[in-house]
Amino acid sequence: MTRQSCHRRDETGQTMLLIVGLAVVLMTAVAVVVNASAAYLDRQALDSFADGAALAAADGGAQGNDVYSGGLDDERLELFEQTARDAVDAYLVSTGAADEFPGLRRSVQVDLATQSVRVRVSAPVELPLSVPGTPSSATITATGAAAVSPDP
Amino acid sequence: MRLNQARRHPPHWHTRDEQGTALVELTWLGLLLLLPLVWVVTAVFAVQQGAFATAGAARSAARAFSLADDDSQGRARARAAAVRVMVDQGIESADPDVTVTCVPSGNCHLPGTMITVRVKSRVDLPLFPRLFGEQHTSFALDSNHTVPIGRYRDFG
Repeated sequence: MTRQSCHRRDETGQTMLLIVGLAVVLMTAVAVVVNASAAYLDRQALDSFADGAALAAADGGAQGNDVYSGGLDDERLELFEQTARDAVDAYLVSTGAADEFPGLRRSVQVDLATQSVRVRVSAPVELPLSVPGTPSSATITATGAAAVSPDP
Repeated sequence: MRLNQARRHPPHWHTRDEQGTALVELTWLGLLLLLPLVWVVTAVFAVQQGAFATAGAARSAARAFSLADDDSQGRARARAAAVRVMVDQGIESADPDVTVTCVPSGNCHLPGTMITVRVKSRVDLPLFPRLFGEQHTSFALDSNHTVPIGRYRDFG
């Protein structure tokens, strides 16, 4: 009987420990989910920049030489990589993307087979909540593609 | 020492001390920790849902504006697109403020113009007491998107 009562005394506070432990686990899980969705929101913002930059690249990259060389038909306009790249840089500066995402990097590729331009932007983002054992920043990447074809 | 103490008291002494403790702890700790946590999670995700919807609305509105034939049609389409996106994202009472600016200013549909559409909206924080005032029960959100008007379009 005596031993039994001793054991009961040892177990006081177990429920509190369990609930606090559960709360800590829950908070950690919540912080991870909040971080992930914040990074996802940032990626969506970067995706908007990638889309706009691709449109600007397609518009800037098409020099309209087709008009003089072979006339315009239903095919896509010829794109030039250097002017497309300049258009992307001008777009990213004018929209403030470089200020919003410090460390922003971009790559511009023109696919000559399909006459489309592909803009890929990536940037590191700081995660809003710090969770022990997880990284404090993440790299997000977005891609946009565009081409110019005359109205039928 | 403990054995002596235990001998002095009848066995039911300690048992009675601990009766109902788990329930009490579960109740007050649950109220103290879990309820605020649930509220914070709900509020954070309501705001993130709103931010997601606002960003999508700005993007769709900008595309809708740029594909329209002229500015007045573009403004109407931009607003319709923004409302549609926000309703699609579950914000039924969406009344977004859609503003369009362009560089150079004037006719926004001239070839080579850069148009920027800004969408502003508010998200009501769930289960927030109204006594703090209307301003503090909602969260302001805004997003903008910039697209060029193509130089190779027929504006005849």
